[in-house]
Amino acid sequence: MQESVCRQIVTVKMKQGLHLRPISEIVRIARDSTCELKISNGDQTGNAKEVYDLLELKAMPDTELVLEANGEDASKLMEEIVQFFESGYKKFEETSDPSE
Amino acid sequence: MLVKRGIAVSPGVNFGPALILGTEDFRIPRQFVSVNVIDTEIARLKSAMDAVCEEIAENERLASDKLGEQYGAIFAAHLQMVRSPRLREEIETLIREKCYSPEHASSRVFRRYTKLVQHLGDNYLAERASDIIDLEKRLLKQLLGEKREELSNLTTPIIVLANNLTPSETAGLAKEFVLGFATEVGGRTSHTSILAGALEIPAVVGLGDFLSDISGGDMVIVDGNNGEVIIDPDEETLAKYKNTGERQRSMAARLASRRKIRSETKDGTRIHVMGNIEFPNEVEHCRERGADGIGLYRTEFLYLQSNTEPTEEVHYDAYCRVVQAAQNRPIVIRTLDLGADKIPRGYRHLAKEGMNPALGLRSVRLSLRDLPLFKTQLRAIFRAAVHGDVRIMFPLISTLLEWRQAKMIVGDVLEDLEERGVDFKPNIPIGMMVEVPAAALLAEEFAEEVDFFSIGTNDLIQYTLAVDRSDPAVSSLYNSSDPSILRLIKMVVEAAHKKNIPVTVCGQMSSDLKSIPLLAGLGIRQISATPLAIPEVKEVIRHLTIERAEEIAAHAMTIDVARDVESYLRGELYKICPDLFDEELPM
Repeated sequence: MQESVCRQIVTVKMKQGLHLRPISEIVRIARDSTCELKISNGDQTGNAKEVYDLLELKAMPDTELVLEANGEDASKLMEEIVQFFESGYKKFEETSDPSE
Repeated sequence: MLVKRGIAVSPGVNFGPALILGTEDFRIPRQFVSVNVIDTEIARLKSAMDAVCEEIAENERLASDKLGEQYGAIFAAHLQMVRSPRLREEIETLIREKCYSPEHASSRVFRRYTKLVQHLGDNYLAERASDIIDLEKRLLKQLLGEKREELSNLTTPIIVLANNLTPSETAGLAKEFVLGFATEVGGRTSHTSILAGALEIPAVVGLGDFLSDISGGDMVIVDGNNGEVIIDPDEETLAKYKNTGERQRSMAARLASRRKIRSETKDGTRIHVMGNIEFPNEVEHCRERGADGIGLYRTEFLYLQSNTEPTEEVHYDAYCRVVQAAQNRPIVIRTLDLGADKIPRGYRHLAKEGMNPALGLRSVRLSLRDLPLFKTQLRAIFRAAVHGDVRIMFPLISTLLEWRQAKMIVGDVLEDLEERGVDFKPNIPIGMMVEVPAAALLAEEFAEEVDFFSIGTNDLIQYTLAVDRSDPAVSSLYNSSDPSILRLIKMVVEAAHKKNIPVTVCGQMSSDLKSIPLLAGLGIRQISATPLAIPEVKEVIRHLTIERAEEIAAHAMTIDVARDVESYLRGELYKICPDLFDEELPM
């Protein structure tokens, strides 16, 4: 167990941007960890354990977000979150979107 | 103070506390609490939030068990949103610092997040905002508990605000407490407009996005004369509107007292003034104002009020109520005048998105395509006709062939009724709306075959000038005083006179006072107006001589620009009856 700070940049791939369902999954992952996790979109920074902070990031598709985890097992949390942004989010995308 | 502009669809001015329909199932009774109860109020907020959490947790268990985990996950997300420390903090701050009631404070905070979600991404996302709206509802329900005021059981007057009113939303509304309507979307033919017109309360539609700027209980003014909605008005504005409201009421009372006087010109020419209605109970409004009958009974509402198509009995009941209320005065029933997209079944698939609905499968075109739908309505009309003076009118007829087809269907229906052995009246007058320029141009040919004409100015103007007046970019081109419109009306009137059939003008032009002398001068002897306008229309007629009206019409026909015709007519109206306008000239 070691105290550490991890930083990483991810791209929002969700078709509708960072929206309620992916947000609640991120919050769930973040709250399962004792680490602090901050997510920034430009000047706006939010606490990943707080739904409304993430909503306020107004992260549209293709936005780059900066993730910063701080605490025990920060790298493990970071790995999980990055995996979510890479592909995990897909299960929250609408599969039967009539407008597609 | 925030002023929003929209389309004025029902005249008058009113103000009162806002009720946001669709998101609020009940009214927030108080906006503020006193300073010394803040701690108790916050405790109340906490226990309400705990109760909401329990409720959602229970739903999560149920959904996971019965429907599977992915459904439970939706409630898990909701739970996160309510448990958020930040949410509690923000609501508490509003209570402590602004003395807002917990209901009002929660509504404000949730409203802000709803807006955030709505503005993230594109339109498609608005649906997700309903998740937050749902949380707001749950919390308000807990907070208000037994004290909550159901919409069907309101005890104080309110202004109803909505994205777009649907019949199901307004069904349970205690209408005597509704002071006015304002909606984000909608046009002149939207449900809101129809309902407000019928209830005779001010309404403004097509205001654009504004609901997220307002919370239940905020003071709102609806100005149905100028198409404005004022949120949180300053004192000066409110005082001004209070004054206007009183003036209007006293004028209405003055005119109502003269309702029994016959509608004829100073030189004794009778001009029948009838009412346009949507609902059976409006017949009463027309009678109270001394109408000579119902010149246009729009039947669309029968199709819009539920998700299923109305049965023959539903039609029959409505028509019988109208006939009974009219007490032997004539009633002109217009058959279905809707687009295919509004009809629950059948040809809905033909109303493809992106097509131009005004030029598409609608109105009599749809009736002729969907014969069961058309025949059901016709059967009910012929049956109801037994009880009074009923006439039928087909909308949007553009060719003689269409007219003949419609008449042929009438023949079939009469045969059906004969076979069924039910009571019906076969020989009733059947006429058509003249609202397509093609029909106006062929008026003489049509006049050979129809029993009467009714000029529908709204569509006639739209099709002649090729302008959609609900489109702000071109709506200024829409003008009932356009010389082209006057000429078309003149053609139709002349054709009708030649063949000796009656011709009525319905549509908004007939409720527009400055057009009355012009129409009378062109030879119109029957006018069908919105019930609210009937006393004033009669008042103008009683100040008129036919000679003067003919001079006005003749002069108007020589003017080549709509704007000049309009100001000429306005000036003439003022000369004819100055006492109709208090100190200032409205409009």
